[in-house]
Amino acid sequence: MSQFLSYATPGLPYGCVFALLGMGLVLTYQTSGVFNLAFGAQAYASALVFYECVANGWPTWAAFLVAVVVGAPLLGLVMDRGLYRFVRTKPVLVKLVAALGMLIAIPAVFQFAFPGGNRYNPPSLWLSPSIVYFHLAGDPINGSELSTVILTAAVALGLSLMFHFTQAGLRMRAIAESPGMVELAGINADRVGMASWMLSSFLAGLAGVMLAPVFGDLQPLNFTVLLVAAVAAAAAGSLRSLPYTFLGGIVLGLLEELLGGYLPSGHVLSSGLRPGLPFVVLLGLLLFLPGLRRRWTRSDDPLAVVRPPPAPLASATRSPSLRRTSRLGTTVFCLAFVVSCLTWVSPNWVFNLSQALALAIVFLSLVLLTGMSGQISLCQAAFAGVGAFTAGQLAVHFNVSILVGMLIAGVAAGAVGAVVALPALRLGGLALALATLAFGLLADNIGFQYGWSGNGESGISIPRPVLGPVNFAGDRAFFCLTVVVLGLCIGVVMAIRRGTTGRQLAALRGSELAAASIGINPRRAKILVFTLSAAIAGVGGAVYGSLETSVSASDFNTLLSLVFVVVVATVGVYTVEGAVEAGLAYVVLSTLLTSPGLPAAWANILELVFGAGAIAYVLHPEGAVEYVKRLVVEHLARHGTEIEVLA
Amino acid sequence: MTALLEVSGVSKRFGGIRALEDVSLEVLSGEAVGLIGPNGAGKTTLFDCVSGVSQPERGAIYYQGRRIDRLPIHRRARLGIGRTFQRLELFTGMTVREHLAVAEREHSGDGRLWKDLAWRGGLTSEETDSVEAMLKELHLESVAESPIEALSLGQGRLVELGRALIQEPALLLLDEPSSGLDSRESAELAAVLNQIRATRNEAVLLVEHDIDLVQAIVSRAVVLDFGRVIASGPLDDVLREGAVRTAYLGEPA
Repeated sequence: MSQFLSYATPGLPYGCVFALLGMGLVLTYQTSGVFNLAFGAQAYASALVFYECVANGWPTWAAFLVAVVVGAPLLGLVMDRGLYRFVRTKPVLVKLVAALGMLIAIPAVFQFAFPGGNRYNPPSLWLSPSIVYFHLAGDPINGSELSTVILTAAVALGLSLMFHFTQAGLRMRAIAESPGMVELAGINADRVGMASWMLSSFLAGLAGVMLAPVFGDLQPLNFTVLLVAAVAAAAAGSLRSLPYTFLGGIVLGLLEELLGGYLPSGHVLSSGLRPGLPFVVLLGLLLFLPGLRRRWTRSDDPLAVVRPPPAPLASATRSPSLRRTSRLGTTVFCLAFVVSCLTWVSPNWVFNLSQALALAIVFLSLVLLTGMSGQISLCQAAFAGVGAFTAGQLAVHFNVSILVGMLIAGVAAGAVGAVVALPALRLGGLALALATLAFGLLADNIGFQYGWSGNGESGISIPRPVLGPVNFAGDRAFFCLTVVVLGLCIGVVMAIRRGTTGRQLAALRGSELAAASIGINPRRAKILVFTLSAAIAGVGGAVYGSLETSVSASDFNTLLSLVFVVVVATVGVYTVEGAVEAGLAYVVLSTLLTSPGLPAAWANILELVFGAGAIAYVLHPEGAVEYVKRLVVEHLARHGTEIEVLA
Repeated sequence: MTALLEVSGVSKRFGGIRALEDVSLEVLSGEAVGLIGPNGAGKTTLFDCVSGVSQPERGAIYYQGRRIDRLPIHRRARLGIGRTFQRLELFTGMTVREHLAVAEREHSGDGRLWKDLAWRGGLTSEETDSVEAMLKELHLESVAESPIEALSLGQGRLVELGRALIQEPALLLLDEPSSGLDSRESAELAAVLNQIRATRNEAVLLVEHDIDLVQAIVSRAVVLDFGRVIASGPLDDVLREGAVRTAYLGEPA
């Protein structure tokens, strides 16, 4: 028993932080319907501001005041006014993309504002971590642990008092049931939503500042991963109950330390299972907690807003002459692009552009999944990784040609995708997104760490292929291969779109109930498209790996999956060319912004651009490319070109 | 002769509310039966149990002699049960023609992934003909290329009807086809339904408030009130019954 306690005690402070974050998530999910994936980013922002203030010689209380008491709610206010209040009535996909955009943009903004690379040994908030106050079950309790527990208890108490005894708390609880009803009762739902964003942002800030000393260095990624533990805690409360969320967070923290204590150190399980615990718990809760499933599949709100139709694509506006011109233009551009890359473009840029096209293959998988069937996956990079490592290991150990390996990579990634999809697709919407997020983190933190898979940070090497007399070792030769594979993948996606499967997916996106009532099996269609999409991502990953000739787990980390979704959503998720343009935009921009001679902080501009793009997505879900096209068509129409507008 | 659809002793409750209580009814092949009753009588719940949207708690549902109450929606649709919805369920973003095309493809069962991948996923000429014929039958040719959002409610109902009919169902479930339509549109709908009844031999189970429309189409009716069957038989007899008049038409017995 005493051993149990001594293992469990250090878990309590962690549990407290998980609980704080989880409660913040539930708070905003309930009041605004947005599952705030940017929560970890907000925690990071406050921790960073706190660090900077203390580093500049401010007293701790002043830094706390600025970073947590004033700064964090201010950030929440800005996010609500600038973005989240517009998405309250939007579909799940839009809400998710908006939150992802924030997740990527917030750290970028703050790093841009406070340049200076990594920061070590963040200051602690209240009691000093180097002083041991007392021993509990043989564990030394230091100041940082003690203060975390005390502050969390105080906040939890304050929250529960607020919800039960103040008008603001009552309103927040009412809004959770039905914003429409609350507005009819004469309460400004917008105002209440704003207050809840500020409150939850405060919680994020507090958690961030308390947690920073635990990590040792201040990095956005640490906080993003932390999010999953918070999500798991929120899931334990079925995304609605604050007490259960609190309890879930504490239990999770204790469980993590207990596992660490009882599992033999150095064993695969202890190095693998312990960091993976939140993901495993989250997956388990998603799959086996029936209350959670009901909550997400059906809206209890009697005044739930009917989903507005998507904005028309430019292709819905057609003119024969314009279409001929644009088709000719595209062909000429593609030809010129390929010819240029084979002749005068510098080898460095040929390599970069090949990277763009390889990424475009991965992006294509999102066009298929998100654009065509309205589902979301936050683990496409993991599928790409499965593909790359499959092709690489086969080539290294079994001497399988990479060209064959690319096919097998597609099959392997597709198989993994099917395994993920089978249980996860029962959930749909937000739960599916969270399950794929958990899977992605599981893959890159554990799955890709073994020698037989991704070999962790050291990675594996993947040779370039040789086909008979043709050697693809050169960058220009490999560029040709990338173009061909991309072309094939585009062919597959377009064939699916214009065929039976594409029509079924379009029908399902319109109305799942009606689609089933004419004999379409929704589950089968969704699993099929998820599998195909994973397979395409796998092929893309194999091409990418072979291009780089060596890849490691960090090339396919989960943050990248999130970036992928945001990039494709920004540029255009409904069209095949959107994927290609997204690949080009991403690689060209990042190459330009990180070119030598520019300030290091400029690298953050890329993330800023796509974070802002996610905001644009909320207003124009068709993406930047289609939006510009429509502007052009409308301009032409005003100037007398004959255009046949449908509808 | 066995019934095409046999609902036997079906009960269903939502929380404390008894939506259906020991409901039994039969629909014979090619027959049109009206399911009538006041709002909240359980008509739509019964429809949902037959089409598979929800499961009955007790009782059984047989279709062509086969028990179907545990099958998912799409399996029942493939057995030949088509339906429309009281609140329109259309495929947003698709045109009228595409609605019919996707339903026709499910009906012909010609869809294969490999055919899609081989660029052979387009409609065959028979399928195209069938879509054209349906557009003509429902007078939807002029709006064939319109996206569904641009249609009036009445046209939307016709599209739902066509989407179900093109699959040549043996049993067609119509859930309040006239709700939200004005009297002229209702009359037009009745004409279309009658024309369909005359040329095809689908059995129809019709939930409807508009007595004129019911009288125009069905010959037999089942009356539900508070989840129970309170009367059934030839429509004229049923409408004359006192209990029905009280429950449905609001007249004192």
